[in-house]
Amino acid sequence: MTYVPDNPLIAQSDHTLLLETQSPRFEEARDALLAFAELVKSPEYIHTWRITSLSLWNAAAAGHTADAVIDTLARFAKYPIPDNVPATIRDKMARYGRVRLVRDGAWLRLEADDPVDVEEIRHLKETHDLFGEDPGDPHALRVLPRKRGEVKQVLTALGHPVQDLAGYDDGDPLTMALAPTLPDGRPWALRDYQIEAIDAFHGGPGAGSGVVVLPCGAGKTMVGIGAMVRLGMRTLILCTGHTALQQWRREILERTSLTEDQVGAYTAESKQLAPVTLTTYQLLTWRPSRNAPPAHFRLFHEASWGLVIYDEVHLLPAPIFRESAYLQARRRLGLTATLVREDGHEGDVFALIGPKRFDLPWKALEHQGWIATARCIEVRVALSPEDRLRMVTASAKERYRIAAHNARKGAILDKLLARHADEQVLVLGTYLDHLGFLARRFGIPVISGDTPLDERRALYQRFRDGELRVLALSKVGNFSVDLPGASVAIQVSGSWGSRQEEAQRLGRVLRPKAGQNQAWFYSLVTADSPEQEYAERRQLFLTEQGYPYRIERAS
Amino acid sequence: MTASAEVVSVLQVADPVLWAELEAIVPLDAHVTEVIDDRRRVVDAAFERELLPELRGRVLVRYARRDPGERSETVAHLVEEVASLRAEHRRVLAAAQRHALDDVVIGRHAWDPVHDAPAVRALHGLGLITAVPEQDAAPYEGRYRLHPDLPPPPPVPYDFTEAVMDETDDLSTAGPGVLGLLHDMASLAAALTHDDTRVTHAGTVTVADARKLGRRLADDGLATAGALETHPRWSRALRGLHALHVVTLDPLARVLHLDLGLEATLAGTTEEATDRLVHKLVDRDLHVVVPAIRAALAQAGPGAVDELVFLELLRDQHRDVLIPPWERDGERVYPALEGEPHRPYDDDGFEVVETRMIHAVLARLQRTGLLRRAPGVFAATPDGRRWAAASTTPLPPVWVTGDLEVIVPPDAVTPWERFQLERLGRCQQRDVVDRYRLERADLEAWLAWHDVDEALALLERRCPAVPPTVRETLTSWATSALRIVLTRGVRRA
Repeated sequence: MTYVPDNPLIAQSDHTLLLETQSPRFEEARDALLAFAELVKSPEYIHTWRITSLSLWNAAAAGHTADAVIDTLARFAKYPIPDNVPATIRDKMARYGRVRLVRDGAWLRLEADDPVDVEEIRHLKETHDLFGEDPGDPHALRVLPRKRGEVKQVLTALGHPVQDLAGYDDGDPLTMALAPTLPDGRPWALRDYQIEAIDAFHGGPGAGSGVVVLPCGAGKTMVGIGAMVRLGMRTLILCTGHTALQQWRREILERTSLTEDQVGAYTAESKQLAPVTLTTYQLLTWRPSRNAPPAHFRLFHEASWGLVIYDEVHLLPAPIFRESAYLQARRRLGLTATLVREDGHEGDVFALIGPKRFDLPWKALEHQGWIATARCIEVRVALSPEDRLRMVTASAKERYRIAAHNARKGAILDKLLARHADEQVLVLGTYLDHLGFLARRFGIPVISGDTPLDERRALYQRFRDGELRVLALSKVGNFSVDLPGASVAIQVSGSWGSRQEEAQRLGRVLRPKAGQNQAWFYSLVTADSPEQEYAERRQLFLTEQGYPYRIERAS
Repeated sequence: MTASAEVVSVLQVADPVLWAELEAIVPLDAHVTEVIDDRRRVVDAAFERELLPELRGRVLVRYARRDPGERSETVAHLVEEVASLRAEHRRVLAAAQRHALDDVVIGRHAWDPVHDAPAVRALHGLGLITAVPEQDAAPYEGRYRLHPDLPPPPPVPYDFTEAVMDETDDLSTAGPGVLGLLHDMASLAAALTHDDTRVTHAGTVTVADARKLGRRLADDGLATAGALETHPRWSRALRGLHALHVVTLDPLARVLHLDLGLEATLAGTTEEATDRLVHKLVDRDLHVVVPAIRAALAQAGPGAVDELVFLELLRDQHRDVLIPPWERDGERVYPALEGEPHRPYDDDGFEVVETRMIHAVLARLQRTGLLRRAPGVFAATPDGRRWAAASTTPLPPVWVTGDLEVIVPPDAVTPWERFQLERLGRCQQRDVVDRYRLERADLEAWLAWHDVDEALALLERRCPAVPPTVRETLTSWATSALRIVLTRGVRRA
C-alpha cells in the first residue's frame, strides 16, 4: 500500500490514529473508528484516536472481528500502516472471548477452548484464591458466584478479558412507561441517538452491562431513564451529589409513569427505599469511623435490583468499585462524558461496570443541534500597578491568589453582564471571598458549599423559572446541575490547572437553546500572571474537544 | 572612512510602569549608563553579571540582528555589478563560484593564474573576491573568499541524453538515504540548541545528556539507553554534523556547540539542501564534478546512465568546467604546483585525471545513498532521484491544531523548516507522521534570535490554516516574554 492523499487516516506505530477532519471521507471514517478506538481529542483539522486493549476488547464485546478492524484501517489509511498495528489488533482481539464465564448450576465456570489458557490462569499468583475446587476439566475452572466481579477485574488487569455470559438475576418487576408529555403539556420523546444508546445497552452479546458515553448536556439522564423503562425492573441510581439526585428524581417523575412514592431518595435525611431508589456516592462511601466499613453498602443488597445506574461513572469512588464486584449478577449501566479517569481505573470500569456500549463525539452533537454551539473566550485582564508590584514580590502560591482576586475583573464582569443583558448568566468561581465580593457588588445570589440545601433548591428553581437572571456558583456548581436556561457562563477564577473543571463548567451552558442555540463561556484571567499559565492548561481539554478559545485583552 | 560603532546591551520594557517593578527587585539605577527613551536604557556590563541572575524568568535575553533590508540592497547591487562585468571576467567569476565551497575557492583550481590574472585582479578590485592571506601561496593560486551575496553562476548546459539507458538487474541496492540524514541532522542540531550537551574525556556524549537529547528527540531508545554513539540513527546524524563542521566542542566546559553554517546548508528546498550537503560530503577537489552527475541523473529520470558514454559526453562538452586548463608554452596543460611537470590537457589526461575523479565521486555518492551502481552503469536511488530532479509533486500539508500541536507528514517540510520547527516546538513523536507541541519555553528561546511573526510565518509556510487560537496564544506568550528584554550586541553610532 502506498500514499493515498485523499484518505483521512494515519495510523502510527504506537497505535494512535490521526484523522483529518477536512477530508471528504472524515465522517465515514470517524463513524467506523467509534467501534474500536477511543477518541483522545478532537481539535480542528486533526482528531486523535487511540487503539487500546480496552477499546479492542470493547469492540470484540460488540461483535467486531480483528479482520474487520484491520480492513477499516486499510480502507481509510493515507500512509502504509505500520506492521505492528495489525499484529497487535489480532493479538488483543483474539484474547476477548478466549476465556468465558458461564453458569454451572449454583456455580460459575471460567472456561476456555485452549487448556493452556486455563493452566496459565490457574497458576497466576493473583488468582489462586479466586477459584473453587478443580472440576477435573482441563478446559474449565470453577468460580464462586460471589467472586464473579473479582475474577473479571483481576483477569482483565492481567490481559485476559473475560466474556461474561453468565447472565443476570432479574430484579423485582416494575411496571412503568415513558410519559408522552411533560407536566406542562409539551410533548417529548427520546432523541434518536438516545434510543441508539439504549438499544446498544440492551442488545448484543453480554448485553445488560456497560457504559454509555455522551457529552455534557446531551441527555445522559434520558438514556438512563429509557434503559430503566425498557427493562421494567427495580432500579438503583447512584448520583454524584444531592443536587444531581434531585434532578434525576424530577426527571423520572416528569418523564415516566412512576409516581412520587415509587421514586425514593436514600440520603442522609431520608432513607427511603422505593422501587426506584436514588442515592449519592458520598452517602454510600460514608464510614462511621476511619477504619469501619462503609455504612450504607447494604443498600445494594436490601432489594432485588434489576438495574444499577452509575451516573458520571468516571468519578466512581474506589470503594464502590469494590462493592460493584459483588453486583455482577445485576445489570449495570454507567453514564459518563468521558471514559478517561484521572486515577487510571478505566480497566475496572470495563471489568466491573461493563464495556463501552455507545459513544458520540461532542462536536457531532453540536452539529446536529442537540447541544448548544459554544464560543469560548478568554478575557485577559491586567492587574493594577499596585497589585502587580504585590504579585511580583509574593510567593508562587500567593501570586496565583493575587492574580485570581484581580479587582479589575469586576469591571469586566459588569461589561459582560451588560453585553448579555437578555440572557441567563452563571458566574463561576473558586475563591469564595472573591466570588462573594463580586456577588455583593452586583447583587447576585451565591450558591456555595455552605448554602443550605433548601436555599440552594429554591435558588436553582428561581433561576430555572427565569426569576433570577444571574446566579453565582462556587465549585458546587461544577457537576450535574441542570440549568437549561443558562446560556452564558463567566468564570472569574478556577482551580489551578483543572481541565475537568473547565469542561464541566462549560457543560453548564451546553443544553440546547431556543433560537440561535448559542452559548458563551468567558474565562476572566489576569494577564501576564500565573493564572494565565494555568488557564492555558485548563483550556486544553476543551481545545482538544474542538472548542477553540478566542483571546481578548480587556482595555 | 567607516563610522565607529559601539556595541552595548539595551534593557527595554513594554510599559514604563515596569521600571518600578524592576526597581522593586534589584537596584537597577546603579547599572544604567544612558536613558535612550522612556522604555529603553543602556546598561553596563556588570548588569548581566550582578543583576540578571536575580531577574531570571523576568527578563528575556535577545541578540541584535542584521537588518534584512540591508542584505537585499547588497544583493541587488551585486546582480547589477556582475551583469556589467566584461565577458572574460564573468567567466572567471563563474568558474570560481563553481569551484568554491563555503564561499572559499582555491585559485589554482578555478583559473589560470597567469592568463586569468587580469580578471582576478579586476574581480578583487571590485570586492567580489578577496584574497585570504596565506604564506607560500604562489600569486593567484591560493585561497580567495567570494562575496557571500553574489548571484549564482549561470547553469552549465549538460546534455547526457545519449548516455541514458534502462536500469540493469545488477544495480546495487540503495543504502540509507541522505534525505533522512538531512532531517535527522536538522533535528539533532535543534536539540543541541535547547540543552547543553556535555562530552566525556573519552569523546562520547554523557549518558545523562544523551538521555536528555533522547527525550527532546522523542526517541525512547536513546532516552532509555543514553548512548548516542551506538544509536544508529542519531550517531549518524552527529557524524554528519561533524562532517559539516557545524558542531564544535568547548574544550573547557566540554559542551557541544552548534556553530553558524548549518542554516546555510539547510536553506531552500529539500533538493537544494541535499545538493549543498552532497557538495560538502565529497572531497573538496572533487565536488565540482557533482553537478554533472546530478544533471545526468535528472536526464535519466527512472532509467540509468551508461558510465562510459557519460564520460565521453562530459569530456566533449564541458571538460573545462571540471578542471580549467592552463596554457603554458602555447600548450593546454593541467594545473600543477610549482616545480611539478605539466601534464598535457588531452584525452589520455582525461582518462587519468578526470575519469578517476568521477569514479571517486560516484563511489562516494553510492555510499551516501544517492546512487546504485553496477559495472559501467549508475542510476539514482529514490533519494537520488529526488535530489537530481526537483520534485513537482505538491508537498502534503502540515497541520497546526488549536491545542498547539503541529503534525508533520512525511515529505511535508524541508530540512530547513524541520530545523526551525524543532527549535520552535518540542517533538512528541517521530513516527509515520511526526508530532510537535508548541511550548512557551521553546518560544521564549526562539525569541532570543527571532520574532513571533517569524514563528507564525514558519507555521503558515506549510499549514493551510493556522487556527486563530494558535496565533493568539503565540502572540500572547511573546507579549508576556517581551515585557522586559535585554538585547545584547546593539550597535550604537
